[in-house]
Amino acid sequence: MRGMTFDRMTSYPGVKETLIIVPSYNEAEGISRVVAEIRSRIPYADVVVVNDGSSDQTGRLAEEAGALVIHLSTNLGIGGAVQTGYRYAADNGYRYAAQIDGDGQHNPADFERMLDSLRANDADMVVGSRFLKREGFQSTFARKIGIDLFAKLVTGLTGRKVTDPTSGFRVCGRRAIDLFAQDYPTDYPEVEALVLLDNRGFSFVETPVVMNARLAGTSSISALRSVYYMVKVVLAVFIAKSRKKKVLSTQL
Amino acid sequence: MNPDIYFVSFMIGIGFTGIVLHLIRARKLREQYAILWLVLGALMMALSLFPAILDRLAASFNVSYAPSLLYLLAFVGVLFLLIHLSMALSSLTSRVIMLTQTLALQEQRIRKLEQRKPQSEENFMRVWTDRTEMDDKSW
Repeated sequence: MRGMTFDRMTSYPGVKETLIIVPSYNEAEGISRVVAEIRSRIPYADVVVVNDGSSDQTGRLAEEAGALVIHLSTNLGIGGAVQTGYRYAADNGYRYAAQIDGDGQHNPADFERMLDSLRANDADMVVGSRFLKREGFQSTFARKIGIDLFAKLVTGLTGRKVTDPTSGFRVCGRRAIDLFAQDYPTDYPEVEALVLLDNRGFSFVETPVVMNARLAGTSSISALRSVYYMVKVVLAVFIAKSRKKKVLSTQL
Repeated sequence: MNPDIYFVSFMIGIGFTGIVLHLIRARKLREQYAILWLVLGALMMALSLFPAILDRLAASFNVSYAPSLLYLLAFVGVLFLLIHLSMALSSLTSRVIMLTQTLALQEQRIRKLEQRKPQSEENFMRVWTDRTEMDDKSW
């Protein structure tokens, strides 16, 4: 533990307790702006861009924009990239870690309210929801139907009100960081991660945020993949839920 | 004619087992996965040497056409082999993810350490050149 503190104090001027994780895959067009925006809105945080095996200049541009960059040598998918960030946060003893997408659809200006909400509610994670106040970009019609289905599913399974379970705009406290560093779903992880938290008895709350349409690039979920996406997530959520009982019975 | 086909299938069984053993020796197949294949080869040989086993088994399960029992058993066996392979693949996938992450984190750490200590690197270079100069003189 002492080594860890020493490491952090010497690596950065002043001890920072917040890490912003930006998973990005081929986001060369927008990454500079996203990093610059985060650094100006949240100057007290370290920014780590996890370059998920991009074939373009994403990694170099992020470095030039002043972010710490972790280069994955092959593409792991969003879950593997985000988990790299949580592992970095856990290794370096950050108290808070947030994920903000590298495509510019999340507004870093919302971060502070989310962090306040995390502290005020004594929650393990805060999810930025674009549907609580219904402002800004509301996603497409077809996608909204899918998101609503996931929302009902997760609300039913966890007993917590969830409106935007696929949102990748999240702020985590120490317990959630440690959990995600060890265990995080690989592809399309957002919905499953909520059940994962609930299984451990960790709490999460939503905070309204305003999302933009993407700055650049296309969503990782194309029309062809959306069926696979729906099936995979629903299956994964039920499997994840069924694991809770197993954990309980081994504890008893 | 009957004994011929049993002889052929016995030879196939021997050949199959031989190939599996060769692959293990050449380190192209890990014992862990090879055991299943060896068991399969042994079963093939046993059944072609003693076809009566199959008939008796079929009779005890009330299967009127013995070869259909063989197909069922073979199908189930292959199914289990495939699940075994899917499991191996899943475990490899999660290991690759873990290793890729660890590698990337370590690389980042190395770069950070390299950036942090340019001065000590200079010292190292000076010591190193001093030493080579001394070596030159002592020549």
